[in-house]
Amino acid sequence: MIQKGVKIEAPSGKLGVLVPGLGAVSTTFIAGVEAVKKKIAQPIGSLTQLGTIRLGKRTERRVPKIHDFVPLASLESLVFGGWDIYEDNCYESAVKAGVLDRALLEAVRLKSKTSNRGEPFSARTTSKGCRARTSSPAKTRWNLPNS
Amino acid sequence: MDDIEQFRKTNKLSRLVMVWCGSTEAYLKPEAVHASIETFEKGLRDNDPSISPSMVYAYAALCKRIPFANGAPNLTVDIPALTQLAQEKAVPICGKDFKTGQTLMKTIIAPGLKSRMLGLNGWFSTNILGNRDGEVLDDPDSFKTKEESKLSVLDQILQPELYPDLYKDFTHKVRIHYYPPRGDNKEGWDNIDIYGWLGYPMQIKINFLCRDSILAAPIVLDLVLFLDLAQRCGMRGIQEWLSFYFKSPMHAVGLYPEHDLFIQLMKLKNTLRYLKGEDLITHLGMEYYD
Repeated sequence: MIQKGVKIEAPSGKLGVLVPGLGAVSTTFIAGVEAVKKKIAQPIGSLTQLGTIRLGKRTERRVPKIHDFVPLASLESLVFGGWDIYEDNCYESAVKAGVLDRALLEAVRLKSKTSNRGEPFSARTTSKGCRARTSSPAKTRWNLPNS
Repeated sequence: MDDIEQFRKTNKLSRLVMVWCGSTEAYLKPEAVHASIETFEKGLRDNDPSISPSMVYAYAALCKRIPFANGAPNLTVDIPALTQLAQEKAVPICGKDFKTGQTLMKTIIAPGLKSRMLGLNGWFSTNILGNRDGEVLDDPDSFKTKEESKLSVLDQILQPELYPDLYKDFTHKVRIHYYPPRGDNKEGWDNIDIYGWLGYPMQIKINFLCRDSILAAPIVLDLVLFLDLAQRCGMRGIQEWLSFYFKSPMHAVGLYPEHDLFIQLMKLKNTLRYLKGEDLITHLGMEYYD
């Protein structure tokens, strides 16, 4: 068991987020994080972004935000990558999913293009692994993770 | 694995997390091939059909020491081979099946009924859904995977073996219908037949017009950040404190899963307090009255 008050390594550098399955959920997540970073939307429903945590006795009135209490990676440090059996890029897939407004998706896309961090929706790798479900270039399942 | 390495190098990443956001796969039962790392790796070489695509992804992630969360009801990492691998490689994992929509409502309402010792005759849930999730769930094999995930929740929360007068033999039905016009906007109807004092019947109706991905996206974000935190704390294997986010929380052998949303939240927050060396909160509070 982990010790109480364990030493926690600082979240330095960038955190890669791999999402197999670029459908409605993952594109809504990725576009949402970009929108929150640009401050054009709020991360409603996220405990790490909005939640608080009471510490000590009620009389102490210590109730920090969760992200101020534990060292979480910042939204700015996230880099996204994913795979899907469909060929659409992340933007096209988000449009097709039809969850978020075109206006919001465009805003995220345009602003991202002008930023130095690069275009988030191109931060996408393709996988021989997942496509193998349809076109089977790998001989066995062993070849998939090891290809 | 090359894809992952290339992604890591190109973007100069210091850490990675993987969250399965893919479709529900055909129903699989744990078999011999899933029983140990050795049999699993042999299965990969022999192209065993019981190894699903999500298992292949999870295996690749664990081999690379990348924390893995399973957002679908697929078995994926919930097999001895991969929980062992997570332990050995010291990687945190969690699953299964993001708790959104109807199941979220169930785990909010059922603990309330039980805490007031109200009885349940039946709970009928039906859904219409038009996204890819709905389309995949129209396939009976995939639905069976989902159905198991959805059905177990009430039994675990209500504990009929402890409260036979209240919860023995209630009828629980769950249906999902693929209905394209709705797209991602799911609509769920719940009819809950309950009974109170002296057995008098009452009914609750819930009509939840929810947006599946709008409820799931913040879960993905939280899991990414918490799994990364867990790894930086040196936590490994199943992260039960993240049960809060799942319909079928993974748990240690011999335990039952905790489904009650409020217990799950307390467990999550107490874990954070513990990691930071703060006192756990018991809600006793007698000291205020001395």
